[in-house]
Amino acid sequence: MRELHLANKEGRDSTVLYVSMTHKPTHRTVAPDGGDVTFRRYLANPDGFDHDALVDAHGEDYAEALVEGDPEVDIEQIGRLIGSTDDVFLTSEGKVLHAPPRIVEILIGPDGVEKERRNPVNEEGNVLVEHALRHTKMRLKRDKVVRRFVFGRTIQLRHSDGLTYDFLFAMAKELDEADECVLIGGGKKGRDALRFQNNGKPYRAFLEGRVDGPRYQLLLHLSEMELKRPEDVT
Amino acid sequence: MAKPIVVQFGGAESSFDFAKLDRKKLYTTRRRQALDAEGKPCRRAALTRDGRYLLQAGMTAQGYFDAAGAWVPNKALKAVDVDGNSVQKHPSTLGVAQEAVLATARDLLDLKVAVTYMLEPLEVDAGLREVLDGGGIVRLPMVYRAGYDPATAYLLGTDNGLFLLTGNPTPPEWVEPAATLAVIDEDDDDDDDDLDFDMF
Repeated sequence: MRELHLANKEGRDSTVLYVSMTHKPTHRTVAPDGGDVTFRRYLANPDGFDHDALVDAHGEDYAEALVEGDPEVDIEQIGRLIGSTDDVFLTSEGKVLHAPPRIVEILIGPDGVEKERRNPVNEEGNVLVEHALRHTKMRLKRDKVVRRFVFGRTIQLRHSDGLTYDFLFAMAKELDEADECVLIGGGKKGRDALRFQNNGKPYRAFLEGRVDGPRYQLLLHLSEMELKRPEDVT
Repeated sequence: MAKPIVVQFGGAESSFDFAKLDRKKLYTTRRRQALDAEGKPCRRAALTRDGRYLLQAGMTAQGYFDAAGAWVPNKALKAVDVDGNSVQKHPSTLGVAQEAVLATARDLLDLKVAVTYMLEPLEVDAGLREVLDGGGIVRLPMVYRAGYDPATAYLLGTDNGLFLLTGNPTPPEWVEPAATLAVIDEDDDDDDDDLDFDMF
């Protein structure tokens, strides 16, 4: 379990645990005889057997050569399983780059047109830092929040001891009774989107609580998209 | 053009045309690009650990292999459940009426949304229209392409029109209270105000 630093609506803070909610597949894939299979990457088209190489070897009209001799197939290499690899960059001329490349950040508008190029800014994770995640003033009924945001990820908060149980249970109870979700913000002012790792994807996060007797569920629903239509779609 | 999404609710059918919605259609997106010394875009490639192959786009493929290392064509693959029983493939639900039931906002909050669709009504039954206009949500099964793991879909109306959110439910577990220490009984006869300091 991972940790995050959270304050309640009174501003009291604590470090609590969380787990990601994941879907467990209902099936697994097997061979026709019921045996196990593994999903692997393999060499399908080795270097030197593509269109350009065939043109060099047999000329533009190499169809007959394909029928007669299978020159596009190298049986020594095709099908070879690929294990671990290292990422490399190739220059525009296809040569391996031996020095770190310069990285630029390109901004692309919803119309698909490039708007800007700039130096990338390093954005640090903000869920387990000095400034605790805080409740904002934005509170929405459950019924409203599902109509405004798309939640592609949810994490569930858990306590680590008796004190954090009281802390999280009280938060869940208050939200459940109000039937509300509260927007949680990060950073010094408690307004920033949540970023779980350095340069990670930023999320808007709504905290939802449920209680059943002494048990509770405290869920942080994460969204990167509003439920609305593009401007050119009616 | 894809077949419509057909919903059967209260015994009547409604159908909707649909288009996928993603954040690229709504917002400015960022992409990082590596440049070489001349300022030209670099391409990513993968070098095998033995240094034998420099793998570029289009040179590799992926597939299933059995225990003996033989390739198994996708068409020959089967699916089994956790008990080893054979599982049947679910056909696509597009163009086929799917039974919808009322659901709650809390049900929808338990969905890990994978794909969002904007809906355009083709024919909407008055009963379903009334539910959606009144803030109701309905749930139905959704299989875009035939597969073994059908998605769950929620249909709802917003100020921006009708949407269908599809994904897999991820219902959370209840978190039990922490074990607490027993409270000491104040009426315990053995408990008095005399503290034993002889032990020090």
